[in-house]
This record gives sequence, structure tokens and C-alpha cells, in this order.
Amino acid sequence: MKHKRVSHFDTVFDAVSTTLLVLCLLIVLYPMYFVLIASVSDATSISTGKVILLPKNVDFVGYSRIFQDGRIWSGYLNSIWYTVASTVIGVVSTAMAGYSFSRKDLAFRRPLMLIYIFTMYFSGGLIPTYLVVKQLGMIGSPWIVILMGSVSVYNIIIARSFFQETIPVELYEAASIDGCGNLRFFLRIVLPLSGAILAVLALYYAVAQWNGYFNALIYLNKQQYFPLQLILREILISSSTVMSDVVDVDAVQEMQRIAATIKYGVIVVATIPMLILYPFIQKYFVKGVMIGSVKG
Amino acid sequence: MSKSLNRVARSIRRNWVLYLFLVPTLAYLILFHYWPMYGVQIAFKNFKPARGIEGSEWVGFKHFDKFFRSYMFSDLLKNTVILSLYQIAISFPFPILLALLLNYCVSQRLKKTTQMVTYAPHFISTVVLVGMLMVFLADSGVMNQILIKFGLQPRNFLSDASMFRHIYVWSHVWQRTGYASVIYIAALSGVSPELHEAAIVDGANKLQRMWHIDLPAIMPTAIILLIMNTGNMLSLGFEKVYLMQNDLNLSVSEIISTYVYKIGLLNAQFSYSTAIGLFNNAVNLVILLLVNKLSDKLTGTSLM
Amino acid sequence: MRKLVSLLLVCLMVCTMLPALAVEVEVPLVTEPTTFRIMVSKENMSQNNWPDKQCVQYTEEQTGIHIEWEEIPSSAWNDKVALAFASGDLPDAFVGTVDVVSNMDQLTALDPLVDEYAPNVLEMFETLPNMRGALTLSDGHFYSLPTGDADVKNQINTIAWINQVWLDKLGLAMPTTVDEFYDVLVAFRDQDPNGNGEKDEIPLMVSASSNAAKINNLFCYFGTMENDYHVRVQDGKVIFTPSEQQYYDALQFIHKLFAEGLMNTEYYTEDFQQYQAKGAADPCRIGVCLEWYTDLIIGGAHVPDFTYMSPLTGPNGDMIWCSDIRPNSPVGNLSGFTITTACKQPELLVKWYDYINSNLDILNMWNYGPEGVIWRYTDDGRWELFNDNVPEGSSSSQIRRTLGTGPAAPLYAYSRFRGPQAEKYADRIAAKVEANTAYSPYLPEEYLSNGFGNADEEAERNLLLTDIDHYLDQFRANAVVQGITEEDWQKHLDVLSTMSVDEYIQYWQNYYDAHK
Repeated sequence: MKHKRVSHFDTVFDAVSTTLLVLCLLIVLYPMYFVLIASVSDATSISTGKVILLPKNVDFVGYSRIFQDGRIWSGYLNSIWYTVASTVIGVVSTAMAGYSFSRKDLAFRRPLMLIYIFTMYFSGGLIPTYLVVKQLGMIGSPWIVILMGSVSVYNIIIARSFFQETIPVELYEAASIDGCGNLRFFLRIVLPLSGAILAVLALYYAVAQWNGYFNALIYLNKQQYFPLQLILREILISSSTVMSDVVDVDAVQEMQRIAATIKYGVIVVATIPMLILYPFIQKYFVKGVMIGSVKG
Repeated sequence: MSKSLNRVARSIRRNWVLYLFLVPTLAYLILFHYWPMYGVQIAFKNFKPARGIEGSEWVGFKHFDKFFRSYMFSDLLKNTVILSLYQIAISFPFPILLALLLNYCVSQRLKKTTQMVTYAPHFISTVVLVGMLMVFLADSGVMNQILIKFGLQPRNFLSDASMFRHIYVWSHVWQRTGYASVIYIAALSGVSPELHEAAIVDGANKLQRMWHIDLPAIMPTAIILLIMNTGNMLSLGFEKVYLMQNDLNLSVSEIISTYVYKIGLLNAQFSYSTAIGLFNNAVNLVILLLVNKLSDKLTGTSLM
Repeated sequence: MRKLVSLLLVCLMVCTMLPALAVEVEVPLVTEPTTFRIMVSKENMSQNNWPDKQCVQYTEEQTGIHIEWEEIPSSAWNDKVALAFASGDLPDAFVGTVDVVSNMDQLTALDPLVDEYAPNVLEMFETLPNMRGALTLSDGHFYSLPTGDADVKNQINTIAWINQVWLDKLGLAMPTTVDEFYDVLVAFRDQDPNGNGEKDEIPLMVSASSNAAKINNLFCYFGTMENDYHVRVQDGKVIFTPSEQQYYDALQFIHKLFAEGLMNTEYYTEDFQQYQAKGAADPCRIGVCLEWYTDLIIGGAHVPDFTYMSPLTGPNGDMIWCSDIRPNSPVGNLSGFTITTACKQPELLVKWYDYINSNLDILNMWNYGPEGVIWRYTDDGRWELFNDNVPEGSSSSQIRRTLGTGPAAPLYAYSRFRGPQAEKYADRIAAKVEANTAYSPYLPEEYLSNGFGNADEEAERNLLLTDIDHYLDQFRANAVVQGITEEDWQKHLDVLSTMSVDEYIQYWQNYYDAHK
């Protein structure tokens, strides 16, 4: 009797939770769907609120303009190149550091960790950092953009937690008795067991680099090196702020008119690579972010 | 004493590879984080670029003093703190809720789809997100069209200063909840099934199991994340807030980091803005330490 | 020998092409190729890079000076320039706005160089007597040369345009006072002038999303002004306008328009597309608009419906029009071309600038691209812009910035290269020039001229202004949307008194006294 009441309650519970999930699904989905239909609708229908569920006056003017725009293509290629390079460097260095910190027998572990963590909350600020980069002779070099996005202390902590959880101390002790050194242990045993965390790290670094523009804005000088987001910002943001530089009202309005036609298309084009990429890595998310483990 | 020193030396010799592993990241942090901190001294100087950092004269706490006495000070501090706390308070429970719901979801397909879809906004950049908000919440935008369809009063979302914080925080919830739930889903998958079986035998319903088994299991994770988010909060929001600002919401939307940007780069007040930035950092650290301490006291979990 | 002859021939040909006024510049300027690094603000409509532009290549061939261009998108310009100065990582020169006053330590004084090497610039100073003073800093030197189009059509930015067709249809006279203007707006709202049976008219179209369409321009109907600095000059005294009684009256009026639906109620919130969508509607929804020219907002078919509305007489009898561009003072970008202390041979860059500004052919090649694409000479010896060669899907603005550089370049197109004697205007520009001419008597006689002040004072002033702006933006928006009472106004005056407004005005007074 009691059991039945419980299962009755659970039925209600299931119904409620399913409804909530579906609702949640719709709320998240709709805005993205809207951008998609807006990208093939004409600007006037959108700004007068006629596009809600279906596209209106479908045309591909925006997209054809985008595909003709050399800046967007070169931005695309740059973004891909920066993202790949930065991700590779980031994953390798983070896995190494994360593994070292996961080892309890690392002397000075706590003070070293503090040195790392402190940088998360305190920084020298933009101008001093710029001066340092200048002293390193890296202003204008794409490498600075790649490097700047390639170390995240947050990710190191995640990696550390993962290794602590999945690589038992006994495993290393056993291996070292067999004469296996740290390097070999890391390469032969730790890495093969860590596909999930590597995938997650890769995703984190890739997303950050793909969506970031600030470093590129500050450190790059040539448009041929600009990543996509910087070009995107140029199109989406600068067109809405009027330049005080030159009184050429025609030109400003012309720019805004162009922006109006390509805005949504650009959003779609810029976001799609990540949206395509992440489902492939998604299956690793849960395994990788084993954070029962952030405690550490 | 010398014995323990010896032990340390031996451990270092044995594990030299581990230290080598730290070299790349440590070098990075020293180059791009610690070295620039040297430049923070311009907050206490009257920085003239032509004279360089060393050549500029010391002015002590002049810039801080000026800031504390400025008309903006109390507003900036208030706005920054309120926005941060509001965001922490609201964005904290939702990922947990979503993870719990997903964990009990009967349909595998619904679960997969929901996960897939709710993660997606995380991959949208801030520039794009704010662009979307502008379109959605415009007076004649989709949101108002929908309100009207349901017979509700349309609102001036963007022009109403009192809406700014809600828009800021809830759009954050929209964008990050799905992705933030991943961590909790992982933690939930670590809960031993035997606990649930035992509870079912005892006649516990799903809600009770959720409350007594799952929630305690993810609490430590939740607390750690809360601490980390708190520390990051004040520095993270800049771009989004800056993009969302307009004349009508400035009274609530001007926060320390946007002000630093306006004063520093756009007005070339390098020393003054560095001083304000330094103050911001200090506030950051204080908040972090407070939350850390609090969570240590309440739950015994802390970051360090 | 043969080389020399051909060189002479080329010289002869070039000389015959030059307009009479030109001061000839001997080229090449150097015996060996010399390279300079210049940071330039690149407009995002330019579809190629500066080294690919014909004018740039031609100038290099002629002068022997090679430029390494560092092209910065205009949206990143301010940040990059600030960083360059802050870090001391300086190019040889900047082409684009630079904060000359606060960075004068790192710039080269140009006055001795101009006096010695730049005859064409000197000629410009003679034609525009205000220019030299406007450029000069408090130390008596100038550090920048102007750039941009200094054209009659740009002397006044905003003009009020009224729908003449609607006036005629409703049998209304052109309003001349603020009260009449109000009545006209009410009639536009209530009497369905566009005849579609819907109450969709926007009697007064203003929008914060367009620089020219802001409500700032309405304040002058009440004898005060609202501009970027919130100041005006009367009897030699700089006045802070937001504390004037007239300012209060203007706010009350604007709020009345807002509350009664006589002006665009989405003034603060709409973006530029929404603004344009309203203007493009057919039948026309707009009664009065504030714009540079009507076709920037009104849909093509209805552009001829509009005519300019002369400044109105306010309740206090004032009749002024204040523009964001300061009357009679030099137009253009006064800090558009600067040479830094990093430059080893600044005299060469001065000569180079002088060369580009030495005759119409070369100047227009930079400004508009090669002759015959979007500009050409007319039979009466003047020149004009034309659209015949603009392909579908492109625009003349785009072509101008791709084949040439547009006005953000080391060139200053002032009356010698423009104006009725030099340039023949197209219809729409002619209409704008006509409106400007009609408006110019109403510009205030006393004004703060363009120019640069004392470095420390400007820094302090800008800091104060940031706070003042921050407060005023909210205050004004509230006053317009919610309305204000006498009590609110008192409170406003109290707030202002806590904000060092006196200090702020004193800085402007010093500036004004130095620039009279």
C-alpha cells in the first residue's frame, strides 16, 4: 500500500519534471532559433517585430554579403589557427601542471598552488601588461594572442582534481617500484586514462580563444591577423557608435545600413563552428568534469 | 630540522620531472601576471608615459583619495556589489536544479536533447549575446510581441533602469545554466546506486531521495564553485555590462570596471584608473576571503 | 640625357594640370628611399588595404617616401592610440584623432617645420585665419595638422526638416514660434495627415540612435544649448547650461512632447535600424525630423515632401540655432595628422603632407580615388561627384574609401578644393547647402572655438566632465520620460553644486579667454 503511494507520487513527480525540462528546453532554444530565422528575413520585418515564429520575406542578401567580405574570411582562418594552436599549447601545459599538483608528494605544493591561484584574483592591469609584452618584443605578433589564451589556472585546478580522483597513489607507487620514472608514468599510464579531461580542457581553451577578442584588440596591429570576433565586433558594435572623427554622415549611415543586413548572418556564421564542435566532445563532459573532485 | 630538509631535497631530486612539468605554466604566470604587477606602482605615481614608470613622480595615495571623495564612488561601489551578489545568488541554484531534474529524467531522449540544447548558449560570445538581448527586449521586440499575445502589458525593458540588473542576471542564467550543470551531473553520477536502492526499499519517494541523498552529495562541489565564482565575479562582467549600458540605466549599470575603462583608456588617466583598478582588486580579494571563510565555518569546505 | 628629357616632359605635363593656385612641390622629396611607420585609422567600409591604394602608390613613386601603414580599425582606434602613448611604443606619425594636449610630450612641434617646408599649409593658414590659432597649444606651438572635409555642407550638422506636404494638406502655415510648432505637431498627430486612417504618425522624429537626431537641438528654441560640454558663452562669460532656467523650460517642453505622444516615444531605446525602419515606412509617418539631410531617415519616395524649417522664436524671444559643430571655427579634424618624437626626420613627413595637399588632382585621388570613377571635372572648370559608375550592391561611400582613402587621411579639403567655386554640388547636397545658408545667421555670435587648451586643465576638465555626463544623462532622460517638478529641479541644482561645476566652468572660461 505504502509502496503504491510512493509510486503515485513519483508519477506526478515525473510529469512535473518532464514539463519543467521541456519548458527549459524551449526557453533556451527559442532565442537561437530566432537568430537563425532573422538571418534570412529582411531587416525591416525584423525591426518592426513581424518575425516571430517563421522567417519573413526570405532572402540571402546578408549571407551573400558576408561571403563576399574578405575580412570575414581572413578572420575565420585566423580564428581557426589561433584556436587550434592555443588549444594544443593549453592542453599540454595544463595537463602537465595539473598532474604535478595532483601528486601529494610534490614538495612546496601548497605555496606553489598559492602562487598560481593568486593570479586569478589580482592582476597588474592593462597598461603594465602591455609594457611587458612590448619589452618581450611581441606586440603585433599573432603568437601573443595564442599564448595569452593558453594558460588558465582554473583549468589547472580542474585537471588537478581529475588526476587526484582517477589516478590512485598506489598506481604510481607500484609503477615506480617497477622502475618507471615520472615521465614515463605520465606518458604511458596517466595520459591514456585521461582522454575525458583532455577533451574537456581542449573544449574550454577552444571556446575561450574562439570567442575572445580583447587580446587581439590590444596586441595586434594588422588587420590581416585579426580573429573573427574582432571583425564581428567591428561590424556589430562599431557600426552603432558614430565616429566623431570625420563628419561624414552619409558614410556612417551607410555603414549602419550594411550592418543591419548582415548582423544576424554574422552571428550565425561566427557561432556555428563551436556549435558543431561541442556535441562531439559532449560525451566526455560528464566523465571529464568529475568534480566530486574539486575538493582537494 | 636538517633531516626534514634532507627529505625535501630528496623528494625534489626524485620528482624533478614534476617540477619540469610546472615550468611552462609558471613561466607564463611570471611573465604575464607577476611581472606586470610591478607596474601597479603607477597607481601611486603621476604616470607620464614620456617619462616611463620609473621616471614618473610619486604622489602617494592622491589618486585613491580623489576616488574615495569623488561623486561617483558610492554609486560605483554599490552598483558593483549589488550586481555581483544578485548574480551569485540567482545563478547558483539553477544548475543544481537542472542537474537534479536531468538525473531523474525518465526519457533518455529528452535528457540527451535537453543537455545538448542547454549547453549551446555557453558557446555564444558576449558580443553576440548582448546583440541578441537588444533585439529581443526592444519595445517592439519579440519579448513584447509575446507578452501582448498572452494578453500582458508590454514593458520598456531596455529603458527601465530597474530592469537592468534583472536582464543582466537572467540572461546569464539563460546562457550558463546548462553548461554549469555539467559539473553537478558528474557529481551525481558518482553517487552510489546502493544508496538509492536502500532508500527505495525504505519507501522514499524521488523528492525525498533528491533531498537526502543527491543534494548532500553535490554540496561540496557547489560550495567550491560558489567560492570560485565569487572571486571571479567582479572582473568577469566588464564586457557585458559595458555593452549593455545606455543613458537610462547608467545609474545602476556603471560599475567599477566599466568606469576604470572609461577613465583609463578613453580619458588617458592611467594612474587614476590603475588606482581604481587596484581598489577593485582589493574588493575582489576581500569578498573571496570572506566567502571562503564563511564556507569553511559552515561546511568545512574551502578553496585553500 | 633621355631620362632627363622625359622627366622634364612629365614635369611639364604635371604642371599644366595643376590649378593656378597650387604651390608647386618639387619631387622626389628624398634622394634615397626613406621609410616611415604611420598608424592610421581605417574605416571599416574600406575594402582593401592602404598599400594597395593607387593614391598611396602614386605618392610613393613621386615622393620617394615609403610608408609602412599600421591600419587600425576605427572601433579600436582610441584604445590603440592610448596604448601607444602610454607604452611609448610610438609610430612615426598618426593619421587619425589623437589627444594632442595630454600627449604633447611625445609629439613633435610642427610650427617651425611648417614655416620652413610647407608652402601649401601656409597658404591654407592664410585662407583660414582662425586655423593657426585653433591648432596652437598653450605653449605657443602646434603639434598637429588638420584633416578631413571642410565643406559648406558640413558647417551645420543638424537641420530641422518639416513635411511640407502635410502642412499643405492640413492647411497649416510654416511654424515660426515654439507655440505654433506645438500646434502643428498636435495637428500632425490628430488629423491623420498621411491619410491611411491609422494614428501611426510620429509628429516629431528624434532618436538617440542617430547623432544628428538628438533632442539636444531642441534646447536652443529656449535660448540655451545642450552640447557635449554643456556650456555656452554670453557676454564673454562661459555659462553652464544645465543649471539655467531656460534649460528647465526646454525640458518641460520636451517632456510635454514625450508625454503627449508628439515625439518618438522610443527615443532612448530604439536602435538605428528601428529608427530607420520608422522613417522608411510608406505612407510616410514622419512630420518633422532632425537630420543632416532627410534622405538619411525618410524613405526615397517621400524625400521631396520635406523642406527645412527655420529656427523658431522661443518664449523668450530668442532665435538661435546651435550646432554641435562650432560656428565659424575651423571644420574638420584638428588633430588628424600628428608626428611623434619617435620620428627621425619629421621635416620629410611635413613635406609629404604638404605634397598631398598641394593640388586638387592628388588631393582628390586620396579623398575620392582616381578621377573619372566617382568624381570628374565639369565644363566650367569645377569638379563634381557622380554616381554612374557605382555598381549594384555597392555605394559611393564604399568606393570612395576603397579606391581612395576617404577624408580620414593626411589631407585637408578646405575651400580651395571645395565650396561653390571649386565644387559643383549634386541635388541633395545642394538642398543641404541651401538649408545651411539659411540657418547660418542664427548661429550664436559668441562661441567656444575649436582648439586645444592647457594640458593639466584639460585633463581635470575631462575628469569632471565624465562625472557630470554620467549624472546629466540620467537626469535628462528622467526629465524627458517622467517629467520634473520645481522640487526636482531644485534637487538637481543641489546635486550640481556638489559636483564641482564651478571648477569645470572656470576651466572653460580660461580656455575661452585664451582663444578669443
